Amino acid sequence: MSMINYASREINCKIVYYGTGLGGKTTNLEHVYAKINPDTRGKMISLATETDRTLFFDFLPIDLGEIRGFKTRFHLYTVPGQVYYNASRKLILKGVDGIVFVADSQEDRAEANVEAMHNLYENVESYGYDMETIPFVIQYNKRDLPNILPVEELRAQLNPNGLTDLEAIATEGKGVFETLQAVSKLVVKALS
Amino acid sequence: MKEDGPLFDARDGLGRYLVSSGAQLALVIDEAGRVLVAAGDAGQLDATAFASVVAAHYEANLQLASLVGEPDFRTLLHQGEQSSIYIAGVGGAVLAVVYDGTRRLAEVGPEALLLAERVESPIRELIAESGGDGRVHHLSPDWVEAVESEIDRLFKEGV
Ligand SMILES: Nc1nc2c(ncn2[C@@H]2O[C@H](COP(=O)(O)OP(=O)(O)OP(=O)(O)O)[C@@H](O)[C@H]2O)c(=O)[nH]1
Ligand SMILES: [Mg+2]
Repeated sequence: MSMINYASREINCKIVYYGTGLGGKTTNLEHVYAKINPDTRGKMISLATETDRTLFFDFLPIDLGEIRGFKTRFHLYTVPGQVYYNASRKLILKGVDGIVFVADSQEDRAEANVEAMHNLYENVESYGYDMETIPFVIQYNKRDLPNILPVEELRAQLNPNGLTDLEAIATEGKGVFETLQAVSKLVVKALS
Repeated sequence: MKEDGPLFDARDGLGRYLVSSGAQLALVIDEAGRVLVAAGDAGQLDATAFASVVAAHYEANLQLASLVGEPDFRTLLHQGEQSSIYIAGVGGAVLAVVYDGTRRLAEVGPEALLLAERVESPIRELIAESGGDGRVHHLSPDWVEAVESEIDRLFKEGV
């Protein structure tokens, strides 16, 4: 699905942050925006409600510059996690090259995580893409909160196939760049 | 840059149109929101951000169309004071043209539609060539290694 524009020698990879409402997807992008070398980041776009819930998407382009003759960029997107925004969520998956699933580690969000994971599979497969081959990592976020499940339990619920998974505290920036690093390397490997 | 091929044809078509219509900027954007072809001068406009919103906007409008039982709303027109935007689906991609506010969209609409028809076939070719048709392309291990080390450098925690 990756667009390699041979004529203009550009490669633009689309990475989508997916997961349950209030899980911390937008917070991940905000941290990347705040901390990455400003020369490499473009304008961040957020289509959100007045209460900062994502309504359509967030967008942040990262420009790696010219590498071996190809201008190489990552386009980061978040989807709206709230259940009833499914139509918008699905649109953002078009042409996706890599996915980060941001899980909310809190006990009372366990069911919502599983539901969001099912919804991801359903939406991806509705485009005829194969979840088995799309670069995909899982982030267990909000590890700072008191009422969280142990990672082993989250893993059993959300990651039975043993994909790359990472812990994070997105509000403190912990695990945010590691997650981006992991997914972007998988995306790049898929191009070789 | 190659002097032939679909990118050249599409860019040439857009460029000629800009000259004849007085439009400022024309972009062809793929379904994932990436700029495929650009012609003209973006000025203050952030073309990357613009493209991501146009693609989502266009896709959302296709959904609106299907909700009311239309196959699609092929063109979207936005008339403003300072500038106006024409958006149309073309060859599996989205064409967006930005005009300054002095041109009324009602008058440029038919011209822009002709442009869309003219660039359709190069755009289809370009998408096929770029892997947008589902073909898998492979880049050299060299490139992968170089990008990986750039990723490590750039995405180091607390840069
Ligand atoms: N304690 C804690 N709070 C977090 C963490 N990450 C995000 N939050 C908070 O959780 C709330 C929701 O975060 P968002 O990033 O907006 O969540 P989202 O996944 O984008 O939500 P939607 O846009 O509705 O899908 C905000 O108040 C964040 O500050 C974390 O690691 N720890
Ligand atoms: Mg959000």
